[in-house]
Amino acid sequence: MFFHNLKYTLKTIFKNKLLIFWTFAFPIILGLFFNMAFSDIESDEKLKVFDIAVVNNENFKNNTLYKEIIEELSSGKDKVFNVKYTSLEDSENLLKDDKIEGYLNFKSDTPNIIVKKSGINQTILKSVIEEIEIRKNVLNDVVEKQVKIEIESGNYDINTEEIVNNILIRIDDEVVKFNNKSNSNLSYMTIEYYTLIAMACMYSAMIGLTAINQSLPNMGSIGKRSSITPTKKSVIVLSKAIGSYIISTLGIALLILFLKFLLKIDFGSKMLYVVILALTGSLAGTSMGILISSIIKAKEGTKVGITIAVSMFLSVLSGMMGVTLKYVIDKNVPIVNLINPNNMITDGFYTLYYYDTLNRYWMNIASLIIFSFICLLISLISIRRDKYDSI
Amino acid sequence: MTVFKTILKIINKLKGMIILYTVMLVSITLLNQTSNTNVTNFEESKPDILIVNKDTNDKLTNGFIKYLKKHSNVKKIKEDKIDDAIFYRDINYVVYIPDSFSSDILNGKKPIIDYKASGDYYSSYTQMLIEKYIKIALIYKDYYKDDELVNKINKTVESNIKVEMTTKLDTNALNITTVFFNFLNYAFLAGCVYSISMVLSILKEKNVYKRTIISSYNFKKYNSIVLLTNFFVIFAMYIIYMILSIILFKKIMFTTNGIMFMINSFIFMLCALSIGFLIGNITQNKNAIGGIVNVVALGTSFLCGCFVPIEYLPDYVINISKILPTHYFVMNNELIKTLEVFDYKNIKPLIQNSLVLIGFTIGFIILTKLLSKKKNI
Repeated sequence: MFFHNLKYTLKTIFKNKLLIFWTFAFPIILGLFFNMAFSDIESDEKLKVFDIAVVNNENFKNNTLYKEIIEELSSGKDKVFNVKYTSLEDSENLLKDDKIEGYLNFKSDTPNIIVKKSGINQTILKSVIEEIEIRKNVLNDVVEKQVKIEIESGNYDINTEEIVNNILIRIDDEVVKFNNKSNSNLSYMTIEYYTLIAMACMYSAMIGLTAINQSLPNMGSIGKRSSITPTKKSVIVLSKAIGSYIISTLGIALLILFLKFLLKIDFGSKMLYVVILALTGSLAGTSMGILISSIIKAKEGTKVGITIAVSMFLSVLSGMMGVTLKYVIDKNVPIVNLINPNNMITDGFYTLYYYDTLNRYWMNIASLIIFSFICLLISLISIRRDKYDSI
Repeated sequence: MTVFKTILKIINKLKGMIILYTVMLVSITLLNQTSNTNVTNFEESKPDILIVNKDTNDKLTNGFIKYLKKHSNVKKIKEDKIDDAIFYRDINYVVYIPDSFSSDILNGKKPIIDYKASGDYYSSYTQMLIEKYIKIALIYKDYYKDDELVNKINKTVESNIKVEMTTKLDTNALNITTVFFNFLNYAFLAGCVYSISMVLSILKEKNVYKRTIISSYNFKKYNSIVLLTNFFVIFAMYIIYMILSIILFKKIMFTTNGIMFMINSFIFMLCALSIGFLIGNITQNKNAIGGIVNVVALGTSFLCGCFVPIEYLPDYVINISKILPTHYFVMNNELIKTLEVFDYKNIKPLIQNSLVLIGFTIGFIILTKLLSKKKNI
């Protein structure tokens, strides 16, 4: 009887087109949108070569120091910007049309920087010009000191050119050593996809809900019919629950395969753990659906509405509408996300992706299992021994 | 009046959806609101960094920290939260100052700086700042001692170059206003279009529809009342959104830019109305409407740059989005954001985009007519 019921649970759910749309197709469509919209954000975040202009007036032409350095900074592999040498009028127009980030106008030895707005490229332009000025100042200071030292040591035959050249070489040679200690996986946009999986897990609540509703006599004629059969209630409910769990896991598996192989989302190297997390996640979602279906006595539409509202709310808290929100909550009110099943799933994936250790991952898995257990326990207490009077 | 009242009754039942999307609109806008107030002077972008100093109280190290504090926002974060903070870009850079930092520099040894970075431009910029300081220190240490050394480095490193800004626009406020108006696409499509399609689907439900056409009521009149009422509903929403925008951005909304934002969304509102009619006529299945509206609203919002700023979108996505009306609405908002002089040359692209939007509206109306005619036979 169990397998008979299971078979028909699977059949009826697969025939429910709307349910399949929301749980199978919708997350995949959303993932596709995410991919289209987010794919360039992180590469845009990196420092890029930007365009500037230099007013090609007499002052600039005579300024060999700047001429050389700007030439150097705008050529080669490590160039900072592309330079156009134009007239003042052209520079103004280029800036107006957003073709350049800013331009340099030499009214004296030091240039004026003219920009349209404040921003990171403008700040870097300023920083670069400052660096050239610093170079000039260092050179002046050190030459002065060096000459003084030479004179003090009794050497009056000073070759200034040599001193300047030596110092210039030194300035270029002083390379600071940096040692990067950050983790290598830093793409925070992947979190968006993890929240998507978490959302899909929570949407599987709708499958659990629909399946259980079919066995409740107060929810429709199918429920009434199956309640008066001699089949044990536990068999009916269990087959419904397992049937919906199988379907929701199938949906999650499809989504993960889609994300991993078509959108090439990085899940870290531990695929087995990803599978364990997906299985537990869909269990948590289905259990939540079963809970909502069994404790709330309302029309099916209301139950579905509550499920969607709850899962959307939990998704938002775990960072679906902007990963910053998850971080802000994690940082300031960690308790909220510790009891949010959606966040446990997202956080589990995040841990697998970003950290080498697994402590936090197992914490999330344990929390999800506890959450599912509590949901199922309450549902069990609520469903068992329901009796209906014959009126 | 009966028809009008019925529609309002249906809308009243659906008000939850409209409220939900309005709340989302406002909260997304507020979340995006940066703390920066009006800036018409150039302001340096400051990275968020964390300094972990292991060097004992040394003048050189203190000078270095003072310098970093001036050019960045130094945050306080617990040691075990650093990795999370880097990942979520709460901080862009962590610099670990080794205990031998100042002695290394003074002895001419190049110190090794450990760091953690988010890899974005802010972190590259921070590294530039650090490099600049240490380089100068390494050279100056041969010529100056103690206090003089620190003073000299800090003085040299702060060569103050003036930056002129050409725009007189309050770019920050305009940016956030544009976020609001771009997000309006989602609010209109997900909230209002949903309601309109639902109203139509309820009115077109088989039995209700049969009763309506069999009644003595003039069918043409009935149709025009339905149309007008729906227009009334979406126009009311439009007014509410505009009042919200005035409350949120007082400074902007009473300028020419603000008025242009309003006109642009009015044109888009008409287009949204026609989309609502189209969807309501395609299907009478209420559940399917939810799906269609969600996909349309989310899809256009993601592809046309309502959620993610359009400059971050890949080119191929922008090209695809050109077949969607939202693209022209968003492009207009982005144009209005940068407008300073309102002459024909500058306004021309705005007019072109608006004409395309009106074209879409007419197209949807014709399509709806064709579809509903087919169904009536």
